[in-house]
Amino acid sequence: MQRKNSKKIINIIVFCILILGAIIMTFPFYYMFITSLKETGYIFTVPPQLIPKPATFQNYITVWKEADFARYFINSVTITLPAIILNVLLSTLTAYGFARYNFPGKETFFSLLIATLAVPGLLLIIPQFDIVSKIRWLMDNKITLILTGGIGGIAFNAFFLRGFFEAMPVEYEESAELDGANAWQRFIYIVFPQALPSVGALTIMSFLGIWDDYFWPSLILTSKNNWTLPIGIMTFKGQFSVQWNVLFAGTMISLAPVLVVYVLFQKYFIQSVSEGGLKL
Amino acid sequence: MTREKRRKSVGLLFVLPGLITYFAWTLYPIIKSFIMSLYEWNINPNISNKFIGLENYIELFQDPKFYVAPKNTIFYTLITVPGQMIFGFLVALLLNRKMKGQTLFRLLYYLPVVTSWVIVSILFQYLFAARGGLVNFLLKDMFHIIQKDIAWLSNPKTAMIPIYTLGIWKGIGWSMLIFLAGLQGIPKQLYEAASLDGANSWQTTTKITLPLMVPTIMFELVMLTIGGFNVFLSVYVMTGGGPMGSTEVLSSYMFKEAFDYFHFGYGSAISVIFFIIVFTIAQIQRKLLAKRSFY
Repeated sequence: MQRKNSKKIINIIVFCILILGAIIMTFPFYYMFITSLKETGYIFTVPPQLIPKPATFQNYITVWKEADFARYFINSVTITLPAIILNVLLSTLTAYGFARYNFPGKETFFSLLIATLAVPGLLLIIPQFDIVSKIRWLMDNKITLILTGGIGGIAFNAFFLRGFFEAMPVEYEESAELDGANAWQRFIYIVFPQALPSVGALTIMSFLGIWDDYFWPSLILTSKNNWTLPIGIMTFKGQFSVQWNVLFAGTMISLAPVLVVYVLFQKYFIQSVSEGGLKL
Repeated sequence: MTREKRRKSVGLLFVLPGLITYFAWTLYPIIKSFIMSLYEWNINPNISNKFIGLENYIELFQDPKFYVAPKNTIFYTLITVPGQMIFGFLVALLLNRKMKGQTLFRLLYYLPVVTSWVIVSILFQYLFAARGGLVNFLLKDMFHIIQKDIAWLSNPKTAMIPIYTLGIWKGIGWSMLIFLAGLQGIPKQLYEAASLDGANSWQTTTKITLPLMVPTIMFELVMLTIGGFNVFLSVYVMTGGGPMGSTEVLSSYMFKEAFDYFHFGYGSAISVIFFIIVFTIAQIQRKLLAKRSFY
């Protein structure tokens, strides 16, 4: 009986620590959100307002219309969606080829892919920029970002998915082959549906990487018409005096799709991390 | 036989698009950055590049800024990596039990990880604002730890603190998830046997959990160290490397040389040194990892 009681107390203490931790992890987001609802005069009050009074939606209208975030949002979507599709397609094709087929130099190629996983992305950015800047058509073009987003991270993705494909039972594909399905049909109709959980995890990693990318797009997209949300946010922040409430309305707009995807597909987020981690 | 041959070429067809883009967009740029570091490189295609041998490197080692950047990068790594791992491990231990709200907690702790560096860096700059910032309010007005507001980001002595804090805060969720995955891989029977033998929870943690978690710990160490050396956007957004260059890290230093001053050869030399450091550390850690897994 006593043992049971002490267990209960421990559980309560653990629960309290976890709640305190959760507050530390999430309160900054709450604070960002309420600041985006404040009027300019209430941004730095002491003590800070924890519930905005008066609350206003004006900052969202300002940032959406006057600061052109509507355009940046559309640009971000037009770049991200095709880039994700390209990225997932290329990655799954590559991983599947390595998992199911034999061809000369297979393991050499694969270890070359792995070897560069630790290479910092920043090492590549100077030569990559040099390549793009020498082809005038590629500069200041959203298509460039669709392409670079689409081929980014293939090494990691192929590595991430290969084991998954190898673990899949080969019988379905074999019986489909006997029924006359060609390699492409087998891949699309048999393999892809079975691989959906891992492909889902991959899609989410790809989405985050492309949607949030600031550095590379800011080098390529020079004209304001082409800017994406992160570039818009950084430029708005760079102005003479920062209007934090309007700025945070902008960051909330950029964060909203991520939050929606995160809450809806949390299972895949967890999976992408745990699986990628366990395999390396 | 022909069927076997056909299978081989089909396999190549599957991997070819991925491999070609990989060679063109990763392998070739890596080689090219080594080459560029030996030139006074010009981004304008009409002006030819001048081969200058190791001059960029010689200049680099004479630049006092070059010593600040690696120092800050190393300190950042030394502080944020253990920070993320310790907190991540604690949370994982607490969460690794049957309890209500486990999924929700995991969701909340992981939230900073899915948020972009640009957004959280701006947010932390706001939280650490000198006048009316939330951190100063908590420390001064609520808990009375400090007497006066601290100008965190504009004082060279304190400017790295918000950057460290952000680095730890943002990474705890990732570290927690990896540790949770590792913890869930430990066979339950071990704990049951230990508790039959009368072991308390401290003993089971140190004698069972920790030794079995060594591979996971080493994995996190390697990944977080590489991540730590890559620290960029938090510095770039919050301080821009200032005040007076005091928060410059390797990547921000490289970025400035290349894209603010257009010293592409020099910037490449920095990134090559950068690459060598990261690669060496990753190799050393991997060796240690291989040795330790004989447990």
